Amino acid sequence: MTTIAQSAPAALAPDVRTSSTTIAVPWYLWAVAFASTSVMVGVTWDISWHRTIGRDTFWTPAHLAIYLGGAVAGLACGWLVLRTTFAGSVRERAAGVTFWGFRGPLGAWVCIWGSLAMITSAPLDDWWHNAYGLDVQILSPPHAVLAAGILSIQIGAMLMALAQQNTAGEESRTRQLLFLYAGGIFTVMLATLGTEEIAFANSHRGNVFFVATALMFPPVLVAISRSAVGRWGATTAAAVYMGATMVMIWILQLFPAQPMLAPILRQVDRMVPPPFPLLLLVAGLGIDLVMRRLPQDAGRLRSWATAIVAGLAGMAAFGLAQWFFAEFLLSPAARNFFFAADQWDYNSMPGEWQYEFRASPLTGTGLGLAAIVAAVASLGGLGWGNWMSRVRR
Amino acid sequence: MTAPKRTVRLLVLAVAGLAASAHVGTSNAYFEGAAGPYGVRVVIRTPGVIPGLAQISVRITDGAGVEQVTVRPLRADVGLEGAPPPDVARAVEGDPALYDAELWLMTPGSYSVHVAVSGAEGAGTAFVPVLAVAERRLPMSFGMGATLIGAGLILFLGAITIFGAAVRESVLPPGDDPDRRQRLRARVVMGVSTVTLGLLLWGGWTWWDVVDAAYRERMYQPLETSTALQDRASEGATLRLTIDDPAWRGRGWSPLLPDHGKLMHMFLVKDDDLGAFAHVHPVPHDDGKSFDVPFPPLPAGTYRVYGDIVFESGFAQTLVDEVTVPSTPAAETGAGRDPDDSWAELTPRGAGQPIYELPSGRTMRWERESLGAVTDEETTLRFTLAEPDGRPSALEPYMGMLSHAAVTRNDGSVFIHLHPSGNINMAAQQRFEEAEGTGGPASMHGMTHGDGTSSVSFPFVFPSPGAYRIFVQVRVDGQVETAAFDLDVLAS
Repeated sequence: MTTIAQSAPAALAPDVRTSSTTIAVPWYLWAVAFASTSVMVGVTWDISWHRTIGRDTFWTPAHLAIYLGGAVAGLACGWLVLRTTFAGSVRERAAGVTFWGFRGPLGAWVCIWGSLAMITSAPLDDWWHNAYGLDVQILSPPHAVLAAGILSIQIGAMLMALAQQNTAGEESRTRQLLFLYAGGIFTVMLATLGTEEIAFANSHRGNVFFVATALMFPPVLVAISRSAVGRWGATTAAAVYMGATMVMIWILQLFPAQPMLAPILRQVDRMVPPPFPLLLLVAGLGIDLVMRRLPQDAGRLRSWATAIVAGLAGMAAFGLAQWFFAEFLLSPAARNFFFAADQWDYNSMPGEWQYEFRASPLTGTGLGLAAIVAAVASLGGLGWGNWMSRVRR
Repeated sequence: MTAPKRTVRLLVLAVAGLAASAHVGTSNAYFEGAAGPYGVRVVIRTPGVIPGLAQISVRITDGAGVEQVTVRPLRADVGLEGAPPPDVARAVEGDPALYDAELWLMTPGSYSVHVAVSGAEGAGTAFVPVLAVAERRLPMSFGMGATLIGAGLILFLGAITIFGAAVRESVLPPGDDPDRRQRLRARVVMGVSTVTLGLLLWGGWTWWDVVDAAYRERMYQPLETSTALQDRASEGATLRLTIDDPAWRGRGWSPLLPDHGKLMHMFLVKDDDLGAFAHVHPVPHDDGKSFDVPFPPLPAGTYRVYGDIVFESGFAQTLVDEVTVPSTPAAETGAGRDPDDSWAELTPRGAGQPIYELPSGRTMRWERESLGAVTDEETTLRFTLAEPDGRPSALEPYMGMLSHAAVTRNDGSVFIHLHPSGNINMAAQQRFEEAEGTGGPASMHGMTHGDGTSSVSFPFVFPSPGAYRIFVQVRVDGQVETAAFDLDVLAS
């Protein structure tokens, strides 16, 4: 868009709106933050639905919350792109990126892509159910397409908030918080994808848990820590993750429900909540404490070393904390409303296994592999974070 | 039949004729009987995939003032205690006696649908055993495939465009143009992301293949068997069916349960012209995997072999095989013969002909509801036997049932053993009733004793179009009569 730059230098000069701290947060940021939340609530609710009631239709409220999130993100960003392309001011068009001749913020394109992926997954998922039977696991090929769409909406929300944060200066507190909030909700979805492998305390002393968490969380936490304006980016996002999950645990348990599918191996009388969140707050704190020592203009080697140390320190602190916390979660003290460690699926056979460590136990090799994975993943997070801290459109 | 031909033929039978409810070509279950004071006819159309949604229709055939019909799925191991609350079946508009409902069958294995009817005449229940097995894999239609490929292509190109824009422009202050270096970097990133996304897609495709292969592995397959004829001059020809499948007696199979007092009901149908039929009852051999029965004196030729067995879990299977009989076995000696064995050579008059003249001089008439038969439509096959002088015959129970029928598509891809109570496995039904402490003789009401009637009827739904033959067996004056009728079934 050479013409924009050439023809409108005056229009692009800072005006009272951009320099003012009173500037309102654009409506579409609220829209994508809402969409992100709606999808997260819907997915968590839907998983609870399958663990409690079992039987569902296209129109369950949990599904509606997911569709609503996808629709709001797609429509809001679609409208934003059309408006920017065909009726946007020079400034608005200049604040976008080009996509097949259209203009709009990068985050909006990512959200639109996410909505399209969610729409695509619907007929595939439906066919899948007819061909292979209802998939009652979280990870299946059509669900992977859906998850790609959902995660894109969360990332799109992060990017839209980031572009605003990075162009509005240090005083755009709401935008900064919206970015961290979107990052926290993204973390909830990421953790949800791994529910079967890492969520239950029974697996928290196993090799798979340590390697999987080392792969999943350092990238997002290091990236957020690096690109956040404040010093506690990763900590805040981790707090959002834990807070949102706990709120879902407490709310879901309030609703009476009963299984509607055979075989019912356990009588359940209220919505089964998700497992208690992982103590990612500890990982976030560790990562932030190290990453805050890294200036934005640091050299490559120092950046890499800092990121690796941050990732290793954060995940080591997290691993240690979770090691002991898991034992607590398996104890009678956690079998209450707050921790909900005694809430299990209607079709899981009651037994002592509920309160035992079951996964193949952590070995030296497992720990070594987890450390290597965490280091590499942290480097990936650094690259992602470096780019995010420069996103302006 | 040559060995390769036979292999192909058996493969076709095994694939086209995945057996469930101990039948080949359909796992649908039909039940006609009593739910307390009400007569009911229940048809369960199984989903073919597990977990999947079964379609259930309940027709009230006897009794008035029905207020509510409910259905519940019971899995054999947890019974009513582990069943969800009952689903109220909807009354079908325009047919006051018909109710329909849907039930999820979640895990493979032996289920029973518990039907409860309540109304002015009181309340009653019936158990209808049904097998939950994966027996088909849905192909993807061209339209669906094209739509998904189109959407996938847009997503693929869109993602690459987004990656390019992210590198080229997103980090620039608003209004700045990307320079040559940024454009070049964007192209490189787009190239790399094309390869990466391509690899991801390939990974997804491979994942799909793995799921598909695992599904095919889980799909229901009858146990592998072999059948041989052993001709001994002194004892006559013995047919031996051997279960070769390593899964037999392995983990997951419970012992066999007798059905009408027999551990196996075997049906033999002459392959080329369907002109010979036998209903015999092999007994287990000492080797623990074979079943022996004297081969009846039927003409030489290749015979289709169907062996119905039911496990203690209520899971029923039809073993499918073929055997070639080089020459007509020597005359029947009666040695080792089950008194309930029966066989016949048959020559029906042609498709749609309603009269069959039996060698005894008796005639069986097919009381057809309509001239045409179509698939997937609930129908009643009704037959009446008359003495040579035209008087109605007085039917007697034959192995506890008023009649037995076998419906086969001429190509062998469908084979169903029917009773007036439907095609449900009586042993499995009894097992559910005993486990739940309900039912018992009530659901067999009217089925075991002839009470002087000359008519029998069978509830049925033809699963696929084609040419069919129906074999009907009744007992009168201590003699089993076997008649055959042909018909063409059209697609609905």
